Amino acid sequence: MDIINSLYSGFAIALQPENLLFCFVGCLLGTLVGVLPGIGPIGTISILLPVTFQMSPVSAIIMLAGIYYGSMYGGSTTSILVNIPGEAASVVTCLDGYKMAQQGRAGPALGMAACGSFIAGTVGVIGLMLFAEPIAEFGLKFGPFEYCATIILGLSLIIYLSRGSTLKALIMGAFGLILSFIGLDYMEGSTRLTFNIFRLMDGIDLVPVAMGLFGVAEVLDNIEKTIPTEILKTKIKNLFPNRSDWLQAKGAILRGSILGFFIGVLPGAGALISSFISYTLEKKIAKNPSRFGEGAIEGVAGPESANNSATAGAFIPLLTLGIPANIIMALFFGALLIHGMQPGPLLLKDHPELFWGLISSMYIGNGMLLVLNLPLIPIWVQVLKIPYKILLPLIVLFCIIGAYSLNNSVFEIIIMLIFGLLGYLFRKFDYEPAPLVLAFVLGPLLEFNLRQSLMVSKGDISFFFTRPITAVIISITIALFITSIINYFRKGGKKSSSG
Amino acid sequence: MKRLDQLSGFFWLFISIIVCVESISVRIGSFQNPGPGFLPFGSGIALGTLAIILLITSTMKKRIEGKVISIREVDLAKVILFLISIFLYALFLSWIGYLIMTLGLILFLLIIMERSRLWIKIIISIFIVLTSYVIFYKLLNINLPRGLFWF
Repeated sequence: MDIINSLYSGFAIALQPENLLFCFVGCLLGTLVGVLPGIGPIGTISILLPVTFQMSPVSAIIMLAGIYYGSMYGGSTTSILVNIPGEAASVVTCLDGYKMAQQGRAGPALGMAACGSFIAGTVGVIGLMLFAEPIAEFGLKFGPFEYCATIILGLSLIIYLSRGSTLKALIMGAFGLILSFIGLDYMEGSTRLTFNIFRLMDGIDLVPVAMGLFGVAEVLDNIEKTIPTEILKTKIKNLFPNRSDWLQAKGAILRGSILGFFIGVLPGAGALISSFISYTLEKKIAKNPSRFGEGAIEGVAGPESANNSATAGAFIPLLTLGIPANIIMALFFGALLIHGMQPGPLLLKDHPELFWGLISSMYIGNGMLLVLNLPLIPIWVQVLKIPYKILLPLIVLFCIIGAYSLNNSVFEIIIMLIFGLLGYLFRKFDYEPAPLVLAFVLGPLLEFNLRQSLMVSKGDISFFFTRPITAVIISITIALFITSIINYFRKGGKKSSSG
Repeated sequence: MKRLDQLSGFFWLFISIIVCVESISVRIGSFQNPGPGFLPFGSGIALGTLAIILLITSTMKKRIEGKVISIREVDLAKVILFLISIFLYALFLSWIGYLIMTLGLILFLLIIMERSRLWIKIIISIFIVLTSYVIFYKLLNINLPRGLFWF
């Protein structure tokens, strides 16, 4: 009954004209960046973060969430029509989606992707609604010791955030922590790592760091290459899949929705992995696996459902325990802090309007996305024809305005430029920026809780193993490390050295 | 790739030394009473250790693989021009103002990135700058520098 009442008040918030508008804008932008190859939801959320400063916290989070799950819808369009994933999580959709388009079945492929996304997105939101509250209530038992252990667990996810070298991911994590310590020490008031630069006394903001690493670096990377966008010349008809398509795909959608949600909850896994696992599962249980890769509709429906459901699942660790499960959630973490809200168990208690407003907006957003992605598909096909190099100056412009508007200062533009150059060099040297951002976001929290815990325990670090909750969390962290080391040796050191 | 790894390994080692020295100068403290340099020092040590592991593994790899990836193919001139243009933009933005500086920047970026006629680039630049001005300055009330002129 409580859930129904809360959901009712959530809908009252989400249906306010302002929030409805920002939900639509988020979904529209999400679909746009999902359709366009190159810039993804990470870059877009980084770039648009400063724009949200003018909004109420609920509107801001509703819009940013719309960008996130909207990009999952849009990503399939490019995969099916161009054979280039518009978004990383739609990579696997290329396999059967493009084949279907080549066979003249682009319509049912696009339609099934959108319908599957809608069903899975809704299943994911229901899961988020049901599971978040009990987990948050458990999280209320946390003190500095438990928080400290939780943040260490969050940091250990760096290993799983990297797709390449684990060693380099750990280096990025350590560097991210160092960057997060720049500026005034909140306990003693002394300045650290500022090198006598007065403007660094307040530390470095997340916004220019994220915009530099993901926005400017993306532009620099694309200056030197061309993204071929040859759209398949096919008539898009019969967008609504027929009865036999539904019969073939219904199981894949259901399995993808449930699987995607639980994989999304797992830290470090996210939409990309869930789509791959869903595809593998569908292929494994299929009566005729040889159809996969040749235009099987389950190969589109399963992964597209899984990646959408995973986006809702990823919100659980963030909103209930304050652990960002992936890089986008790390940006949400930063966004919530900027808006004066501390992600964690108290969020649901202190700001129920944010949580339930977000949940309700996700129901509404999924409906909006179905409309945006089915009847409006010809418009998105036209968008694909815009030369990417015309969009690059636009990304630069958004980054500049975003960085400047943070403190009305050009210093932030310089910081963004430095991180843009760093981000570009990281790509060249095979480093991934995601672990850096995660550590950068968690660094100050780790410092606060660790120093507090050490002072309370008088320097005795056995609290990690003697307190029941911390012992469980630290055991999970150690298990994650051990699994990673075993994988390293199993792969003959391929992942852990230099990429 | 190993040469790049070795290069980056030395860079991280250098950064870690600087961080450790800086942390010591602000007081590391002890486990009982951690100072402001406690975690920066720990992170610096971790970074240094990881950098050494990277250096060792990349050096050992040389004998097995012998593969070198060059970054010469990169169109460095465009990248450098891009960075300089943004730097100059940041330098003169407050003085000259948003509209003129941004128009110049977008036009310049289109010239170095896009192969089309100059007048098309000028029209696109004007359109982008004016649209951004209306959206961010007029609608979203974001403060943009006026500079020398009234706009």
